[in-house]
Amino acid sequence: MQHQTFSKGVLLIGLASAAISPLHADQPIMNMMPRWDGGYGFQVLAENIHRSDLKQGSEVVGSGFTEDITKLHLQGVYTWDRSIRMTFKLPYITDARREQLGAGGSKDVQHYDGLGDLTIALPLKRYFNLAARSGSWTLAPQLRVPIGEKGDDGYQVPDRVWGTGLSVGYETETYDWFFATSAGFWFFEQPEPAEWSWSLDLGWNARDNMQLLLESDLKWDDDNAFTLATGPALYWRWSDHVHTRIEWKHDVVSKVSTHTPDHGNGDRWSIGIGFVF
Amino acid sequence: MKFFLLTLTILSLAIPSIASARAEFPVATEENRLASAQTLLKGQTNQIAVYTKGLVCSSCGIGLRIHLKKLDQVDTKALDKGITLDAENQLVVVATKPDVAPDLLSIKKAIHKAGYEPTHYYQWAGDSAVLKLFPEEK
Repeated sequence: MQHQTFSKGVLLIGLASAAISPLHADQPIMNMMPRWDGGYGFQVLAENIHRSDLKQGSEVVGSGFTEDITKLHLQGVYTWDRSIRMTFKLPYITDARREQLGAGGSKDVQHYDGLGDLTIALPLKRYFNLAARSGSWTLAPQLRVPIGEKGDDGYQVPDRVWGTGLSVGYETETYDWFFATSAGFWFFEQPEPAEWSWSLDLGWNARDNMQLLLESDLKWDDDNAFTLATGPALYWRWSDHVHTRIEWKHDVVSKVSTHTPDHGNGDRWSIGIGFVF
Repeated sequence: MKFFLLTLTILSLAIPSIASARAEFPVATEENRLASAQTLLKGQTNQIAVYTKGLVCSSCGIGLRIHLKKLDQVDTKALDKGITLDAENQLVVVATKPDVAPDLLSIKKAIHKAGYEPTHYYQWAGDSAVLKLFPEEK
């Protein structure tokens, strides 16, 4: 009984937080810049995802059946004035490999490489400047353009369908601390399920040019998949124009679709360099 | 490992609630700001220090440097290419070229374009820094 009450409490806090803590989808440059009129920039990110098991729902149906994806992302941004900016995100899958269940439980290995789907967003920002704190509210309509390449053997990383999304975010920063939260959704053409997400980032301005963060992402979709990934990130400013960021996230909870087997229990690395002017 | 990360996640959810429960974040007082302006501007007749509301970290102030450096009046040979940021006291120090009267409205406009709120400024007046208001825009 006590446990049930506690669980309901946690759920209510979670829902309440989600209701008041809208999303901030990752946006160039490094989720931060440029907030000045006429600012622009681009960044290149290298990302590696390793998923260690083949699952269906929460059950592991193929232990050790792995999936490894390596991507390069090219992303850019232009800020007209501080209230409106335009961004694009284009991934290129340099190498993807997955092991599927074959006849008699054998491993069938599939490969993919090629261009991913393009994402265009129009983040609308409302900044506030207080005596000891600055921050912004964000509303970002997004469009997914299916320019990804088709896989040869039934395995392809991009969805290759049109999608529309919306995210809402809030972020604030003091001399020492950074806090950001965001929530959003994506609706895709059939048969891709709709996706929902919520993220929460906490940062500490450890130095004048360095920020340490703990980031958590919740994601779920209409196929009953659910992921909670969390991990640290490090941001480093080399100069006004050159910025780097490295992050790692681990799937604390990984539940894939209940309809078809998919890979789960993942770890994700990302390292990037951004240039802003 | 999962327990550790789950604990971190729960902490990350709890900390903002605790932080937001505080009445307010520590504010640089006007006295501290004036004291900092006295130190930064001591004897400098070609510099002003602008109280820039919202400037809380040097990384966020990149746009300030980008926009202010575009002004002809800024002396890029002084300070750090003409500008110094004191994020702790929310001050932007701007060096102007010798024998050029600072165009205060252009400085104010550049700071605003960078995404911040210029409130007032300090200038060296013989023996101390004094607080001054920006002129009215026509």
